[in-house]
Amino acid sequence: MTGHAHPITHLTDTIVRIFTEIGFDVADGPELETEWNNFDALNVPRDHPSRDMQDTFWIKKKPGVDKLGRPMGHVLRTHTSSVQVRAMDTWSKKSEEEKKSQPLAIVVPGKVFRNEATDATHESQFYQVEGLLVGEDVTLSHLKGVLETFFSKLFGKNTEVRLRSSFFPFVEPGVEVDMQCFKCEGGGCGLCKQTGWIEIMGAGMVHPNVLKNCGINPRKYKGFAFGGGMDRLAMLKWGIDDIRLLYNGDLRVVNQF
Amino acid sequence: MKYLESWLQEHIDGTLPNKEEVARILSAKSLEVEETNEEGGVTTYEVKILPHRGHDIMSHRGLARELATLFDLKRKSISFPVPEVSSKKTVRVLVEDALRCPRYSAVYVEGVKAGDSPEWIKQKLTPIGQRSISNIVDITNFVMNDMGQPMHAFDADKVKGGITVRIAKEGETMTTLDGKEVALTGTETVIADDEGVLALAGVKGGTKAIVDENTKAIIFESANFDATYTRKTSDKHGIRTDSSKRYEQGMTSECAGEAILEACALLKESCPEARFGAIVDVYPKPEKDYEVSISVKETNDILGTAYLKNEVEDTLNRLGFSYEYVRLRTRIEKRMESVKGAVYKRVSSMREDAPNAFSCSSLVSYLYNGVWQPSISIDKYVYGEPVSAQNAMWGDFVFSNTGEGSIRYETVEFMPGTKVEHGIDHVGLYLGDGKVFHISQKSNSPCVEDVETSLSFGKNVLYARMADVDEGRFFLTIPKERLDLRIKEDLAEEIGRVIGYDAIKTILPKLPRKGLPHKRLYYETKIKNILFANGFSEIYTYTFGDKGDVHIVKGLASDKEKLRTNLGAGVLQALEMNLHNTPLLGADTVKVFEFGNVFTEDNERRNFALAIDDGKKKTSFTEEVDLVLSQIKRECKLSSLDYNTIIAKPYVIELDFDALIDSLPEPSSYESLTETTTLTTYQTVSPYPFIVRDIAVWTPKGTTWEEIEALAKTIDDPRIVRMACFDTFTKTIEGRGEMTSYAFRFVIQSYEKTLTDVEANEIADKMYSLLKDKGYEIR
Repeated sequence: MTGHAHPITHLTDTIVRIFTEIGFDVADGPELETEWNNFDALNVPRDHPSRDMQDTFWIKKKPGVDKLGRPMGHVLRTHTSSVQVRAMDTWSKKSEEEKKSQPLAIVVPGKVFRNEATDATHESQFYQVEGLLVGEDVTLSHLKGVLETFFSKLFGKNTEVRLRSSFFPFVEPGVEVDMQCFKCEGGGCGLCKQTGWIEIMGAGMVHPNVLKNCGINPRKYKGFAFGGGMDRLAMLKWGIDDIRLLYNGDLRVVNQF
Repeated sequence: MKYLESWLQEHIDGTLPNKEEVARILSAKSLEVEETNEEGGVTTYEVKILPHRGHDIMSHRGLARELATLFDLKRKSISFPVPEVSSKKTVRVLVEDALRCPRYSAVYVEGVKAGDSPEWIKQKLTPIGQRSISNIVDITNFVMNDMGQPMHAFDADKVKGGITVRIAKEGETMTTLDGKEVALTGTETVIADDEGVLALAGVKGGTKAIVDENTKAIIFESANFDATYTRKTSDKHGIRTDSSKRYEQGMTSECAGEAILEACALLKESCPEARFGAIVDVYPKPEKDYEVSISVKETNDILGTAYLKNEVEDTLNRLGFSYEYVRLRTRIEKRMESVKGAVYKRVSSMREDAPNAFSCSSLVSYLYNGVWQPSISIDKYVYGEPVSAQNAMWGDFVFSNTGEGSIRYETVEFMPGTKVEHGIDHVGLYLGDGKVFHISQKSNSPCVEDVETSLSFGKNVLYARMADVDEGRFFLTIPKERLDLRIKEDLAEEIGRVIGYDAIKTILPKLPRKGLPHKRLYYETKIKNILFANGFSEIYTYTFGDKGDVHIVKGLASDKEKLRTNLGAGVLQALEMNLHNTPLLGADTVKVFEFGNVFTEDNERRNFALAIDDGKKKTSFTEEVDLVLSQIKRECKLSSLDYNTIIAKPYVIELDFDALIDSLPEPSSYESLTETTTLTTYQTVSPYPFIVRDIAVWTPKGTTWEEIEALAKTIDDPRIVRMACFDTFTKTIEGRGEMTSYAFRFVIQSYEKTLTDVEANEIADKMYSLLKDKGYEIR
């Protein structure tokens, strides 16, 4: 009898197959992050309401020093976006020729943490997938193109996306991404609450402050970024009713995949 | 925040569309409408406020402006008169730190009669969840929800002396209006009278000057408090109010002036006999206009659209922005004229000193105002596009190292630390033909000089281009309350979202090569494939636990405040749980593994653990695991493979995965899982216990297990969740010839409740009679 892969592993595999095909490298980074990489560099300043958007696990640890010489704390990363910061830092050090010939294109599936009460749809640990493309002529059109390709391949049918105005500190413009409901194909059903659309990701054009913080000149380069919950994708795709079942090691769940 | 439709309508000329349309369009283009409610003809919207719009939209006037833009309606501007001064009394106001409190307006009102609010105010406040308290307090709430300006009313007779906005003294105390004792730490901004604290500025009022039924005279406060201090105070004392929520977003000071007039007008209406003192307005630095510009090309370059100039223009008109469309060069030329009389000031800020005094860098910033660039000369150079002297054009910047004073070799604020070997301490605007426009200590006012002969420049200079000066741009004067609009990207968003993002085309970018996995993922997938082939299933367990070296400051529970140092403990726990479920899993042996990060004081690394057991005392799995490990070693071309045995029975081992793959080569392509899942719909797991029944039957020779299975399935009871044959043999029985015995196990479980023995027996009896009817003999 062969063993079974965890549903998030199946999803990671599918995501990686689709994105490496388009030309995105897969990146990862530590789960225990600095305050700079998780917040400040991403234009989420101290004592700002935007920090409230994510409940954070802070770590008891001797503070470090950030890029601006300030003391910085440590957190369990609240999003995979901290890997964007690391990747941009590295990319920014390349020569202009290299940057022009090879845009920074990464996809980051990874574990993240939120300090919030758990229930059937919320966990203190879960998985996100993050995407980033930085280059000379990147626009929101490309974001739409990449995400439509992704969802279409993931669900095995043509899946449109639509963008709605929203706010995330690390992007400007910031959008909420809805995908066409894969179940009713936009006609309206219980899964999409009769709207034909499913809210699935946050995205936008990388905020110039983020580029600057990572050593990239926003006059020369632009980028898009997106991020969403993999658990939510898995739950939608396979109809899993309780996120907590993914983390208690129950083979009654895993063996179905 | 909750909004009342009829209230919104009061701020708009023309009629809003139906509530479904309002909710749909708002959710797509501005902010999500979380709930639309209609009760007795009263419609309300619950709108989710995100931080970027906290400055301007947390009021009916604010959302009405937005709706007018989205539905191309006209805004109605409502203004209130300055109340006639009919009392000689005024309020003495002292603001100690204008950074903490940029504006403080107050008015003394006597002859006030405390009582109930007029019905029309209650009818507005109640549906949006604001309890009516009294006519005076309701006015402050009304104004906040109408205009977005938090206000406060003090009982003037309880205020001793004047009002001082100051930093709290350590050890001071106050009691908030809802009876909470607050011990101040010396960091908070407070409103105080000559005796003590009246209110926690921007957060919560105190009982000292509480307005009650006996109040005869009041002081209205309409002020602006710094966002960060408000937030810190609110956080420190755990007090969040409608007021603190607004201040901590950052607000314009401009609104305070209008709000106090509205409050006075409402009070006059509710207490016609009220007599007003003169309004005191401490506003030392009135806010200046903020300008931002964008070109049509830049808009399209960000959004990926093909908007024409007139489409952008129409959208800006709908947004109610005042703007001019002008070629950048024309605007710079005009500004060059306007600064002729300015003087040199070494340390100067463009926002503070322009257009009267400039440093070299603030002068060029001023000429380019509305086109973002860093402030400091060297930062400007690094931001710009370097050009050669031959290619330098009108509008480019000339940078020099004057050799005197403080020359910078590294950027300061823009991408700090970026090196410029040449050294820069001066900048000017290049005019072509070797001429430069600049200001310096020597020239004292803006002047035109030859680059080569100027004492501030000379032969050894650098040039950089900041923008295309021949391009036409929209220069917008940003409405004071729109603190979210500061750079061109913000404007692109405004234009894009109002026109609608549906207009954005879908383009898949062509990237130069296929993507690569990272090393961990590559080898992890390789090893997982081997494990799956050997019957191991993958589990994910929790990072949190009660053991570990790394602590969380405040976790969800006391036993979840440490980060795991190994995977083994979690994997073992999962193994044991699964051993209880072997009948449901249809396997005697449970084989699981996990890849995951573990944490020690100074290190985070990826480990990999596997566990195997069948729950029986004597079995050993070391050999089986050794075989699997040697396969991993072989297929990954590892020179050695070290592991720790966590426990011997059940057998749990753990490996340092990062160390394992350290010397392996980087992957050159992604190799995916060998088996992908075909699952379409997941079957939920029952939370109730299961019951096992074993049956053995004699069947005539030739009977297959499939026949028995098919027969059993005719019972069609969803509570039979699994059935499997565990023993079969054929034997000659006297008088009956050759017979085949089948022993099978079936598992009974409900999704609704714990089944009783009686219920299990009923199902088993059904099975017995079915088998008997077929002529099989129960053993």
